[in-house]
Amino acid sequence: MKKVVSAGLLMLVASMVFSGIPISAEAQTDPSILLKIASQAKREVNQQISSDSSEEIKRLFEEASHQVVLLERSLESDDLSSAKQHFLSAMKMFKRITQMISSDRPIQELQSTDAASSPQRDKSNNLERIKKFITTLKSIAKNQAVSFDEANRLVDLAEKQIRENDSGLGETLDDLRVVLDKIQKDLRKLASQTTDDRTIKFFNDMLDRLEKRGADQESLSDAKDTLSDYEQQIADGNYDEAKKLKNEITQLIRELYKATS
Amino acid sequence: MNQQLSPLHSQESILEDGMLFVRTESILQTMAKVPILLAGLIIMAIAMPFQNSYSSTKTMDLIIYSDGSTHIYSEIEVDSLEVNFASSLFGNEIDNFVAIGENDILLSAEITNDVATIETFGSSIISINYDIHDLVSKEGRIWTFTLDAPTDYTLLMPENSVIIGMSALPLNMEIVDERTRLLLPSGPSEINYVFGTTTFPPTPTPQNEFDSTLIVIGGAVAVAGVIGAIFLKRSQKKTEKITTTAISETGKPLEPETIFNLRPGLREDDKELINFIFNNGGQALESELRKKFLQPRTTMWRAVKRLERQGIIEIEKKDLQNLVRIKKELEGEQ
Repeated sequence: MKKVVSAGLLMLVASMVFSGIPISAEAQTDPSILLKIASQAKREVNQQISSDSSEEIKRLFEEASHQVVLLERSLESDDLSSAKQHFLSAMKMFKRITQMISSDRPIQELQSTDAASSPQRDKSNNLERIKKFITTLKSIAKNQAVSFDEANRLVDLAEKQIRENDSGLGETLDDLRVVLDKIQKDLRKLASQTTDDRTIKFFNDMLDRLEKRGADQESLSDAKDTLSDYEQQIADGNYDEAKKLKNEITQLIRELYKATS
Repeated sequence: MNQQLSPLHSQESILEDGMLFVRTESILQTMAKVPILLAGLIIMAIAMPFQNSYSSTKTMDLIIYSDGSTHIYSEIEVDSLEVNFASSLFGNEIDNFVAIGENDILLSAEITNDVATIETFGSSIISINYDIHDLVSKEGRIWTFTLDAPTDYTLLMPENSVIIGMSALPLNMEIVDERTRLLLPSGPSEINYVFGTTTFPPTPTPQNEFDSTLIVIGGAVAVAGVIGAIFLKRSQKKTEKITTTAISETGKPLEPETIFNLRPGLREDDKELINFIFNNGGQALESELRKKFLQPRTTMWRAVKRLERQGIIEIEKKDLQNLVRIKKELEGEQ
């Protein structure tokens, strides 16, 4: 009987232990994408090379192109290890070539060829980031009485100004920032009630848990008193005082938790 | 039923050398009882959840904008017994930080340097969103994205960007709204990219290599040609064109080989384009070409215009898209 119980317990424990150990699964690279990326880089670099390019650049490009060919062959023969090596070698060379071409070309030419560096483009990116931020705020505010009308209007205006290369864009973006700050504050205010309730519930739960773990009764009593004060300050709208008390309870709970673990 | 109690040590065999050391086997025989071992294992198993209760990043999605700023969305599993959670950010220059708890609740957070302290209060999963300006640097034309990620993550590259260097092997790649999205493994990785150039280096043509002597010779030939033309006109004889025209007899687009013979100076990448269009029934949408060759819009547009200039293809508008078609006849100089 004892043996049966022991065996059962052993199996139970073993299953618990092994279920707790995360299985390390290493994701595998899809080999075909290596060739796609390398080919794309090859095409781009090839377009940068002209008859005026140095012999060193041309030689490197030939070498890199050869690596791409070898990569393709490795993939055809399912030799993933070689494919990875050829991919990394090719990419290293393409980067080196671009660096060399970049350093050979005059600064003015680089600026004219770099589509991403204009001030209007920066503002356009700024607008893109703001739009993403609005989407996040909307996801929080879905059931709250917060209006996004003004923000939407300013986004439309900013988009129009980008299309028309209007110099008023900077000002619109500043206005948008102010409107979004206000929305964020409104959301915080609306969330504060729920947050306060959750905070109190969390502290109560923690204190119950600590009591069960045999925490020091005197310290527990202190924490409970502080929690009562905190609830009172919230009810009275004294948020600064409440914040101090919240930090105090947090510290008390942390110490009790350490002492009982 | 009379059980005899006897001390455990009496069952041990007396060691021959009579030394006072207790051998390991003896300890195991005398002390290690299965129930004790089981109790130890049970304690270990119970402790497991506590050991695993530290935070871990579940998902991470990054978007790089064309000015090098990066949006980060991250979902993190946190210890629900902790009041706060300190999240390490990937830099100091942070904008638009938002932390959201379960049930889409906005969480309070304070950012000090590159650490955000978030009041989680019982949440077991939180998501954070922010924009950061520290992950991408630029040198010359090359933009470099660098990150040491705690987990596998997706990275959406900027529009019109082309990857020209990579230190890590991507796990996957797809095209989303004409932008490349990579799935990258955890750990350090560096990606170098450039934007499609708006101006092109001049395509090498035979004229570029002509020196002044050739120009003089060319001029002489032209003068001779004019004189010859006048002479021929006077003689009222029909002239033959100095160009040859390849015409597809079947009404189908010209074969790539015919095109390559007539245009021997074609670039390799342009030849690939022609082959693809030909195999696609002689025509393809520009967007299809972009998807096939993973090229940014501007790069592909330039390639298509180059082929049009050489008289190899024609471009038609179809449902607001560019339909690229191989011509049925092509003139080539003899």
